[in-house]
Amino acid sequence: MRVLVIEDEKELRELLGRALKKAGFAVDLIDDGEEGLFYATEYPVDLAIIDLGLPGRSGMDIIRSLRQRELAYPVLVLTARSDWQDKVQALEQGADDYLTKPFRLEELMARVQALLRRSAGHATPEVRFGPLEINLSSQVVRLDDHPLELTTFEYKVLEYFVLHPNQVVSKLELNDHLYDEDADPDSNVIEVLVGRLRKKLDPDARWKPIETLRGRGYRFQAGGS
Amino acid sequence: MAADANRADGVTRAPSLILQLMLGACLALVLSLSLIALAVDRGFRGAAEEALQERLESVVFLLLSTLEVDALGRPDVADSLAEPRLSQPGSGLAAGALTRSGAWQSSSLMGETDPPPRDLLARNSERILAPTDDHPWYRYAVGFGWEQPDGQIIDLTIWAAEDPARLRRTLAGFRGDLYRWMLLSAGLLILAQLIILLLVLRPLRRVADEVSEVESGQKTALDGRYPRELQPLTANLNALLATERSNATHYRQALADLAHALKTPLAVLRARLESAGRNGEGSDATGAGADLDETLSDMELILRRQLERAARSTRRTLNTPIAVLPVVQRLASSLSRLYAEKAVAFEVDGEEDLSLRIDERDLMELCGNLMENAAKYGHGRVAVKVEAGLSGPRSPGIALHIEDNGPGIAEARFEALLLRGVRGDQQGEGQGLGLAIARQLIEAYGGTIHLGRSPLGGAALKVTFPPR
Repeated sequence: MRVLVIEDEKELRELLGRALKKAGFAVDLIDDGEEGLFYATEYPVDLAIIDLGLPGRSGMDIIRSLRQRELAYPVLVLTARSDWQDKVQALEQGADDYLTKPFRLEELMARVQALLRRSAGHATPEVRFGPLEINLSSQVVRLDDHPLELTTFEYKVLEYFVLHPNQVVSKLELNDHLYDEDADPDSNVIEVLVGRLRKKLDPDARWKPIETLRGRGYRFQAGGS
Repeated sequence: MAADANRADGVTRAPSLILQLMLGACLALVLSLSLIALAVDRGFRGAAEEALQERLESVVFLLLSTLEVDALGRPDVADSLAEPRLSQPGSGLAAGALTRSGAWQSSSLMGETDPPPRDLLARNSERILAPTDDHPWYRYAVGFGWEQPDGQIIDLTIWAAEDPARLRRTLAGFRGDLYRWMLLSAGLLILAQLIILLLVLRPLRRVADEVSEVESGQKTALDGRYPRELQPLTANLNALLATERSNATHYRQALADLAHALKTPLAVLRARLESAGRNGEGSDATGAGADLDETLSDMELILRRQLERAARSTRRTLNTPIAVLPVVQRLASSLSRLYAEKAVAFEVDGEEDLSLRIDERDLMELCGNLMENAAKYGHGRVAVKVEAGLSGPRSPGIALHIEDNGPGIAEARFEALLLRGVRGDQQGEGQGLGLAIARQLIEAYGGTIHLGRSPLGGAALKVTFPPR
């Protein structure tokens, strides 16, 4: 999943970037409002963390603009202002959650996970697909009630599929959402990852959760294909 | 509010301008009218006395023209005189002639017990006598030299006198008229003065009306047309209002900047601390980290408390009435979004037009804090109701009920939460300052907060604001 962080305070921005990357997100770090709006509207963002007091263009402006362009991904507002008036204003402009500085990284991570889950229509962190059970919060994956070991990237691919079930997901899209802007992995990497995931999720080719659509990409099917 | 107190006490109230001006004007009027009356009276009296003297003079010359002096030097006057009053007894006009040898006096003195005194005057001299206590007559006498047929010149004095009662009557009649007219004109002048005063003071009353409209929030500035003399006052009042508003805005902005400047480094510190903790940098780091974490929490608490305290001091004295229900509805919709995970259902109910004279930010802050607590600690149901409280002369009080279906709050804990952060030594308990901040805001606007048990099962908070 790709997270955009627009925060003008360098140290905080970098700390957030490191923490998010560590949690398995592809992260774009932006320090300015104008550039932030460009990224927020032009890049395949899954979630944005936006500071309200930004140089160039206010966070409130960015949220309003991206909602006007019907971009519906979750937005978490980060601000030093703790007044309810500011919170209500930000939420009315289209923010989904609000975190007042200073905050706990753990809380930020929990909120990010919850927002992503909610935006995919899951009310609880536990998601079930046939024999597969994923806890999006603890990132624990179980198959037929047995823990399943996945590498970070395998988990990232699976998480993306789970949050976009029954949708056609192209390799390019996976690339965009799993890797940072500057990373440029070989397109084969995705194929290899999906192949490995298939073997782990469906060793006996029993329920075929990941369907390949020739020339178009993949489709994760809840009930198997 | 301070103004109200003064109004109610009436301690410092100065005497009415109208009363002062009217008293001054009346005093000036009485003084000036008295002086005018005195001057007119004196003028009239002088003129009347002059007319009397002229009359007596003409009588003297009338007598001189008809007078005869016999060979023995005794004066005599024909009976039929041109002035009939001289022949009429008791007419108040008398005349006579006098020589060393004899005297003649008009028949009008017949029966007069107190005739005017008669002295022989030297030739070519005249005498005017005003009435005295002994001789109540106005008297005019002229001394002539009368040439007898034998060529001898004898002294002849001709006099005329008038009873002062006539003059007194004339004067009394005049004075009566004078005083009546003076009183009438004084009345008219006072009336005119009062009308002018009321007209002049009308713009001042309009200023007062407009100021109270500003106070009640119907206006933001005085915009009426005022006479030039009042314009400095209204311009200054408007400037004062604008300054008050912009000062509050600037101060709030400065506070927001300060909050940003202080909270962002705190956020960095906390994030660093947590990252270090996660990376497990040394075993000592855990203990030191816990200490630092606690210190950071304390700093956050102090910062939030102090910023809140400073923000409260920017509260405007002239607040416009804010409709309460829409604020509650906005908060409910925002909180539903924030607590989407918990799927909190907000039931908001109340009268649309109930408003409170409060800074909108403060209203939102106190409602937001209380409603968030209900959303946070309830089990998915929050009911908010806005009702009219006690009725007041200008606007009724407000009762705000916030209830949830959570476990409720114990009375002792509620009291502790209300006072949280008031003393610097109180440690954070992992729970926000929401209730304490709400309480302070409520009290700043003269309201109260009470805890009860909700039919929903959880806490029921009742916030009441007094009527105005």
